[in-house]
Amino acid sequence: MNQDANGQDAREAESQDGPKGLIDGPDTVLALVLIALCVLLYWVSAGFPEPGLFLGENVLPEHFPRLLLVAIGVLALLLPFEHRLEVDRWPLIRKARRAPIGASTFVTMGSLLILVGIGEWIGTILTIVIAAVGLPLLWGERRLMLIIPYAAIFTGIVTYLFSIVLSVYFEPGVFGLTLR
Amino acid sequence: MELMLTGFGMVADPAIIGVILLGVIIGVLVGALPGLSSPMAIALLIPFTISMTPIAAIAMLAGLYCAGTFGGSITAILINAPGAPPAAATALDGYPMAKRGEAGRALGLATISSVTGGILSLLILLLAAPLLARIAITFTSAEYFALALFALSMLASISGKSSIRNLIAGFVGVFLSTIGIHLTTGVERFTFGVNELYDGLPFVPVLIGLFAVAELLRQARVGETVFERVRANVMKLPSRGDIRRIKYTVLRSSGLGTFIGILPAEGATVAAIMGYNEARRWSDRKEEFGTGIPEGIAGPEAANNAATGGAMVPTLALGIPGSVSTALILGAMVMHGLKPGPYLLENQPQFLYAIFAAMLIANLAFMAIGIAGAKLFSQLTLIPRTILWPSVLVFAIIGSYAHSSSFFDIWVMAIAGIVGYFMLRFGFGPAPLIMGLVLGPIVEENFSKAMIIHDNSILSMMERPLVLLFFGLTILSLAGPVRSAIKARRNKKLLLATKEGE
Repeated sequence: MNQDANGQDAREAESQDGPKGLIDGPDTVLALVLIALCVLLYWVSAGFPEPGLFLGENVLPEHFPRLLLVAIGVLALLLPFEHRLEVDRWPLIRKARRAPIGASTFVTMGSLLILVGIGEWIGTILTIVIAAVGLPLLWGERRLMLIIPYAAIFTGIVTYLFSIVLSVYFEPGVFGLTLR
Repeated sequence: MELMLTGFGMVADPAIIGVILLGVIIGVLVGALPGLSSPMAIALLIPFTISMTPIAAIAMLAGLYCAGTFGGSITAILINAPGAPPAAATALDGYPMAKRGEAGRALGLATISSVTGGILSLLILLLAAPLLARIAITFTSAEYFALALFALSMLASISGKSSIRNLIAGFVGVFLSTIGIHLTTGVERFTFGVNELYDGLPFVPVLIGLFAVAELLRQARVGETVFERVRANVMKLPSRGDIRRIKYTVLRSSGLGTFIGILPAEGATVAAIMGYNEARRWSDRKEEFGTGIPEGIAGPEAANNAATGGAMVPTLALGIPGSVSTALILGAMVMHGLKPGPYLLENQPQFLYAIFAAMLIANLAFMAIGIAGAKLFSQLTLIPRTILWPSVLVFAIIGSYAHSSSFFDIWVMAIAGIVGYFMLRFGFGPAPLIMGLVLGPIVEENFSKAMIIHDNSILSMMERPLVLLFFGLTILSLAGPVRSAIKARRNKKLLLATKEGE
């Protein structure tokens, strides 16, 4: 019992004070990812074509992005030590980072990507109808008497507004759905 | 005077007044709903403005911006859930007052303070913007580059979880603005052969992705929240006694809020917190703060709304956004073919008066709408999240698509949303990234010009006094968070030593 209490105290202290080490593991990984990306993009910038002779007198096109990449890389080097610098605000960062990502978040992300992927094929109107019906269902809404009128009225108004009032071209898709 | 009348005349069209009122209603609605924010609403509303005249579009967005800041106070007072971050400080005294059975009085105090703060800051906008523009017109590219760099450095101190992460996000935003054809040499940069990226990363889908889709993904695992509601009958305008009590607080907070708004990157949230702290510091009833006293509502409300007018000063006069929302408005202005900055005010000075008139109408309108509909707006939180967020998704999809009728833009929105979600998890806010994205072209264009003029020598640039001043301010603004971090470390060590001693 006592041991449990001590263990809990230690955990609480750790959660209040942050890690004792010089560097923080997850932030080190984050910094490495950022630096790797900066190196990759720096390398990509080396492949920019040479501007013409006259235009070459300007600042070269890779000059400014490279300065930014160096600045991001240098700032990223500070991330592993940030828990020792920002003692007040760092617990908030860790709290947000440690919050579990729910299955519903991944399902929403995946569904969004699938919907965008098939969007061009099924057409714009059907894409927004599926978004209006699918997301409530994905998030556990089972009151069809709420979802159906909502989806019909809401998507109807939005589609009318953009397609007719604002004259936005809606991709009809394979089903040929269009208001015009 | 003639210019003023022309400017007011530009807004005095029933259609434009109509869109301002629509913007105000949407603003109060979005402000009142926890989770939805003014920047998100502006991002979602920009596509609706595509067929409007520039003045109507900007007037609508400016109306939304003012009202969104106020809207948050309704739910902060009635259900202790600030609809927007700038209203968080209002809840500290607003909710206790409402719980005492004085919800109407709390709402009245918030409304009058907000309107007063908003109008006073607009008067300062009217005076300060032309003066600032007159100075800015003498700026060379070196001064502009140094000023934009100063604005970027201010990202280190804007509200957020970390100065380092804010700066990284800001620089990433500037980097993203370099995607596409390099205007001076015509060289393609970071397009990876994607034709749609030749003109750069599409701005609106990135905004929508970062503000709306990232938040939607965050909301995916948040359960339905049931708020404890305080009964509110009607909003009561403050009594003469209340006005006498809060008048100096309102004036002080309005000045403070306007000044904070003018500072690049600082916005209404910082203003509200400082407005509350200053109201407490100057009060002789310090111990009563937090129990529901009028000064505790008036301080933050006057400050956060004053910051809206203040933030428009650098946006219109310099083309440097004063807050995230004004960064979005600035983006919308560019989309509508306007180039904010000293030349806009020089060539079309009536535009300033038109924006002033639009924001004045918005301030008066949200007072009327707030008085009439506070109870209704507080009921908005009853909308189930399974209906609210799908509506946001529909707007996000259609808003991203509408600008160029392209599914590529919806892809950009979805990817920006997913990246934005993980950024939020790792403490990188969307606001600094958007500020960077907006400031990016200004920084690069002026950097390139200044380097050519000064033979690629930063030292030669620093021979100009204003450049030196802005560089000095940049160093000071970067040093601010370092100083606070050292202070916080020292305090923590002291606390630990005291604990060990005990």
